[in-house]
Amino acid sequence: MSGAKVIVIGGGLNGLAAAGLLAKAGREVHVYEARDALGGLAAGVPFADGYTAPGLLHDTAMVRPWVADALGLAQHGLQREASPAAVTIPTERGAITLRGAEVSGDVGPGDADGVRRYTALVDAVRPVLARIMDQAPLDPRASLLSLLKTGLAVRRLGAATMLELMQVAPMCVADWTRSLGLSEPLAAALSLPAVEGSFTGPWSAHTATTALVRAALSGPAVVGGAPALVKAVVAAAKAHGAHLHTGARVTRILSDGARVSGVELASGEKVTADAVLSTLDPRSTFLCLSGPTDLPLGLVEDAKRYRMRGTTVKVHLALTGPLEDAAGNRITALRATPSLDDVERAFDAAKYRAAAEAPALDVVVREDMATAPGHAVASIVAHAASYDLAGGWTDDARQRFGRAALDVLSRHCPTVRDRVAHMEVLAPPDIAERYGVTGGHVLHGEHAPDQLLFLRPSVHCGAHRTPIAGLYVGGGATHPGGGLTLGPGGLAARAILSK
Amino acid sequence: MSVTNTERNGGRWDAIIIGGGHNGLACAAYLAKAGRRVKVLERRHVLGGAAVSEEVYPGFTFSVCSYVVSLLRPQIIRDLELPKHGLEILPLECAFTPQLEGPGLVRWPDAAKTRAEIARLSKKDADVYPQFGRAMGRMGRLVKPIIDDPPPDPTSFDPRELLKLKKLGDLVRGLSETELVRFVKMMTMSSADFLDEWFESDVLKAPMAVSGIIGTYLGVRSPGTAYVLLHHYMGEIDGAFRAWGFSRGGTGQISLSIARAAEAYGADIEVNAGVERVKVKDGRATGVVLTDGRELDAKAVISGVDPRLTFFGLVGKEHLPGELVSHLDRYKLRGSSGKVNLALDRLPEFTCRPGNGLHIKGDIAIAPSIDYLERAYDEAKYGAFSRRPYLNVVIPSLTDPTVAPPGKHVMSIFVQYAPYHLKEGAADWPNQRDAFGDAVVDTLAEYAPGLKESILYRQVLTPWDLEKDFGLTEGNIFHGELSLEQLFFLRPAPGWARYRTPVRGLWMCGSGTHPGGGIMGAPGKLAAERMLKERAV
Amino acid sequence: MPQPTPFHERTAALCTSYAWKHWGGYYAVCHYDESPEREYNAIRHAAGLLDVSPLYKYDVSGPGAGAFLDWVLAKPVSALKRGRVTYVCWCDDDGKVLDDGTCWRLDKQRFRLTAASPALWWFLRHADRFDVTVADVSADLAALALQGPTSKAILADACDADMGALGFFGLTEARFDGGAFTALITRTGYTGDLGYEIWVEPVHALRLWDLLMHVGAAHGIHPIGLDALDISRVEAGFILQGCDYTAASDALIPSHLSSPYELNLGWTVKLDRAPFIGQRALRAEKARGPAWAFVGLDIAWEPLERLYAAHDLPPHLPLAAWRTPVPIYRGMRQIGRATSGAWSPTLKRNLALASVEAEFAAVGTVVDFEVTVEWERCRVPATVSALPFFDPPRKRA
Repeated sequence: MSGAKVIVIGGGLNGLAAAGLLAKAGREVHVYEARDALGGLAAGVPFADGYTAPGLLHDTAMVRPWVADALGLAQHGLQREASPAAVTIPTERGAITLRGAEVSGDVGPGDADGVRRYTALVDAVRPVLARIMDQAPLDPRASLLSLLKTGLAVRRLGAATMLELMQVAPMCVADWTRSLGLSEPLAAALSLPAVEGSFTGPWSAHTATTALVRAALSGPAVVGGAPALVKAVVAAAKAHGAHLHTGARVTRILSDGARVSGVELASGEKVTADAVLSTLDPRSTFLCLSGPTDLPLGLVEDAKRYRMRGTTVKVHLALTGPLEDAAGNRITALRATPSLDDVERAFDAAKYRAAAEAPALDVVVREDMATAPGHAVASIVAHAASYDLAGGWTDDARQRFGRAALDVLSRHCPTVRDRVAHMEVLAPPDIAERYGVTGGHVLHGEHAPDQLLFLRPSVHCGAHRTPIAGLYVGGGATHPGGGLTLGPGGLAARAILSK
Repeated sequence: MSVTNTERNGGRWDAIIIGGGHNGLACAAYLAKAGRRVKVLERRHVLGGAAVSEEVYPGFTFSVCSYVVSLLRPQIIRDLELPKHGLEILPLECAFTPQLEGPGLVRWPDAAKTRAEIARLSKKDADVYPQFGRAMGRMGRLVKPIIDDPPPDPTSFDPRELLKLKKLGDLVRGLSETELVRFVKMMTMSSADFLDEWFESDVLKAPMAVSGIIGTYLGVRSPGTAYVLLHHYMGEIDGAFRAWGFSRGGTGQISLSIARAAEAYGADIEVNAGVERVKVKDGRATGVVLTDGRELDAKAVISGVDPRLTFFGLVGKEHLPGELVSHLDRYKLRGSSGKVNLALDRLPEFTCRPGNGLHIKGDIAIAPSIDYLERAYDEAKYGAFSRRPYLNVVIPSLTDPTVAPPGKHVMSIFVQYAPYHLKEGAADWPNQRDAFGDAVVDTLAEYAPGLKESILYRQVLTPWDLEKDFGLTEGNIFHGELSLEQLFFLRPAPGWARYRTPVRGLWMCGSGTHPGGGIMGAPGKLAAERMLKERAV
Repeated sequence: MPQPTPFHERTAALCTSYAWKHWGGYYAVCHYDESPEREYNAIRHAAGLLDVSPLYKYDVSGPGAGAFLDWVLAKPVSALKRGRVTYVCWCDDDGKVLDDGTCWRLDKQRFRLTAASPALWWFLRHADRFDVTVADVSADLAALALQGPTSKAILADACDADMGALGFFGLTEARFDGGAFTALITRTGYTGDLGYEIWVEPVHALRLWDLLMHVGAAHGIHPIGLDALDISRVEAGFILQGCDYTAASDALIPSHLSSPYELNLGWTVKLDRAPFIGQRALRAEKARGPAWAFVGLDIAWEPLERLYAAHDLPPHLPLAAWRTPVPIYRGMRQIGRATSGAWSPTLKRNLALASVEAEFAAVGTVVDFEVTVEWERCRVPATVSALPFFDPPRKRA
């Protein structure tokens, strides 16, 4: 099938990564991106004159090395930081600094030991998780041999780790972090990545798994952040010969119910292809881009059921100076939430069509993304608010949420308010509209056990193939899931190439 | 109870069972039936543990804690011939969910009648309701072998254990695609999300969702609660039509019938016999010391009380491996429910369905919406009892007139949430008990206005009281949360899920062991069978 | 607790046998007199009047109504002409039958479906992707089946419709009682005879009943119950959901499921067309060949007579149709089950409808049918027969 034509819908990281790998394998690849910029949720967000936020998602630590290597991203400028970023975690009296497995600052008596135990489990399970994430998803219907292999890998962890894993996995992250003896601010900070993006709070079961997976798969961040990652992936895709089309919205996947034949663009143009890979979420792919009789029922029904209730509000601050704490120390990354209960309360709001009064904040500060010297950009992932806000997401509602986020931030960074030159608040519907993600769900769907592995996004297309010949899926709504990992794109390309 | 056998055995027993709850008694009955000399020690003056009936107010018999029967394993009823020993289960008529506005919902045993009720809310839901029951029944059949057998040990390389694991694997792999997906969803989703995939009416979903939260410190939107929903359907798959019911004379009758069966097989049961500690010598349990100073020796000591009380209260951390101690520290008990029992001068009348027809003869749930239930949980999460709680009300005297004087009634109200850990501390419960009782009665009175005036006596049990009076640590009615990390081979601790403990000769048989809480009797039976198989007694 | 139908006042007064059953949440008469015999004879020789209000009825309307039904039903109906009715079945995506019923074209953008069991959930589940509205009109329409050779004459006297123009599987609106009310008449039925079904708003139900009974008196009309219907539908070889097959939505285990090909409904499936629900699975099944076949069985009389004679008894058969599954053997092996059957008073033959393994489906194949005579299990030969057993020319008139 060398030379076969593949269309990739969506020029986000996964689409680009898949395009690069397919082009490298000799396919004629065309990427159609509806927006004018490539990179999707990772693309830089210019939000004020002279200020660009580092991607709607800004955590670049989870890039899967195998995809980066296969694309040759290093040759295209991708560099990773030498060490994990220092994260500031405000406490009542000061702050804890978390850098990898090390904690310093205003630590509680159990923190050092707790983080050590936390890291020990994370390190122990990393090989197994990496194995699961870098392969086609585990499927109980698969051959017994492949299951046994994974089962054996789990057993090789040893009885103690295996039992601990089995016990921790179904837990809520609050119980897990508290059982480690961590001080409240540290426990809350470690729990935040587990609930970000999803319709969950730290008291929701299984969030320990999310925390564990995210921690285990995180390596050093990309130098230059998400925009640098996009740049490298674009360069690699182009170098391998992929054709990237921006401002080209696909409006319909053409199929006869059995085989895909191409796509139709907003311009009315019909483009034929041997294969189509959609990196959009399942609602967009299976409900919006497909006609009501194009797909088998199971896929349609699963797409309807698939849960993508976005809870993330993105706040961008244009700062006239650095972000500093009361003592004047510069902050590059910060997780602002005093306690697990505060994170949970923030989620409570989202349950009742409201927005958190004191959102939990995951802040990244970049001085290189403001053109004026000395200025900075704060990129804030704020948890949580309802997509379907009672009364609607009016400008007033957005402003109110922004002020609430600033209130939380200024508790630790008292000068921040005076330095805000401009603030942009992107509520879930804004994210949905701007990025074409249903529900404004930044992970392309909740990372719940019934929406992971071979069930993501549906049992009928969990391994990146759909029942329609030639139609593939490969965005964050497929294994191994949302976030800036390149994993889904990489695995989708592999699925196409193995055909 | 009889103490005459003591002399006969010279104080030396095959097995001593700590706690005369229904599981301890079931364990005793099975061991005695197998010819072992068994002694049961109950701290209180009555048998039954949490399955107990007491005349708290003259003329009125309250099923003080547990109040309905559904999960009692039919095999136990047959094996121990419980009907011969006084067990009679009367079916619950229906499930009634009153509303403040609207006619409320009653789900009847008659499918057509239920269909008409649901169709008022949603015609689509009325169509789907029986399908949901069938799907859950099917899932229940899958889970049944898991409940009826001791759990395997996934860390072992013993071929027998591997075979067991393979069987479980085959079970899952044998499922159709639809069933496989449903199975994963049921094991992991929240009951609210799970029901959302089937139904659209909140009025229907809310009372269905509560089956997923009873006894847990979780909300209807908490992942993991869909599994507990299944328990509601378990009774029916045993072929016992209308398996939910009252035990005639109160739930204490269940325990008493098991006790009579145990005695008939020769077990010796003693009340007012509190155990101070388990005697441990060279890592082996040799007997118990009673609060009255007596010492009794036995080949095996079996604890029917919860794991934390067993290991920390009766054995002592010094006799345990550090790993188990840390697991037990992590073991979630945190009781979340309370109980209010009322002696009533007359029947309540619900505004949405006046009169005292059949609809109040069953299970009455104050669960008007998913959000109502979730808000009740939200309050509990932060350490307060729900101001507007979920209530599960039954009036056993309507079905079994023996529990109240003629014309008078007994009302049992199960209340959630009442978190053991108040933000003021658990010890503040005595100060909040009355306010809690008021919140319950006020809530119910919104739906049944004349209620307050008809109350002759009110008994309020907070989780604090459940701990103090019934020895349920942190007031947890299930001896530990029924969450995935505490079920199956992880209950109560990984590696110790098969009734055995690290202290040789010490065994467990309570709800804190597989398959868990509820008036099931399965832990007691499985523990006895395991011990007999291993020749531990 | 079933509800009374809109005709209950009349049917209850006539039902001297007190033989009622539950049907779709309503009370329905089994037989008015002690035996269904007279009622059966009305169907075959005059006219029988049956309350069929409990049938489920759904209206599908909107610009996308045709496209929607083409997607949901196993047969396309968008080309169905206005005023025509067609027999349909619908399947789940695995190609297993959910239900069978009729589909009427009322208007350009309006269809009506009848169903044996609740179907709203299924239609609504798919309607959101089409420009269509699905409404449950079950309770908005009372219905009577008027079946038998004189039914046409009765209706010609009772309403203003041009009965001559109303052909088999046709549909017309008619004014009754000098224009006092209107009703829809479909040239359909479940008896395999000349017959009609009349659909009316519940407020006019009793007037319609009275009118038909009054006008019909001259044509031998007789109210009939479900038992008589059951005998006639066995003769006609019509399957009954919940009796001859299990709806896919009610199935507990895979062996409860049936494809249309296994139910003799293959003729209601049109595979080669735009995608529809179940198409893939049905295509595969057709290529593979179905595992089961739905057949008619003619149970030999003389061997049965001999079995009874051995006990010095005359053969004994129930007056009504039976619905308890009976094993079917070939040699020592069980190869299927008869799901319903009846003694045909018209054909004087002992008939059954059965599901057998496909290889035994050829007409003329002789199999063994289990009978219990004086508490003794025996077998009698039965011959696979073409369906319908009874097929008078007037059925299509």
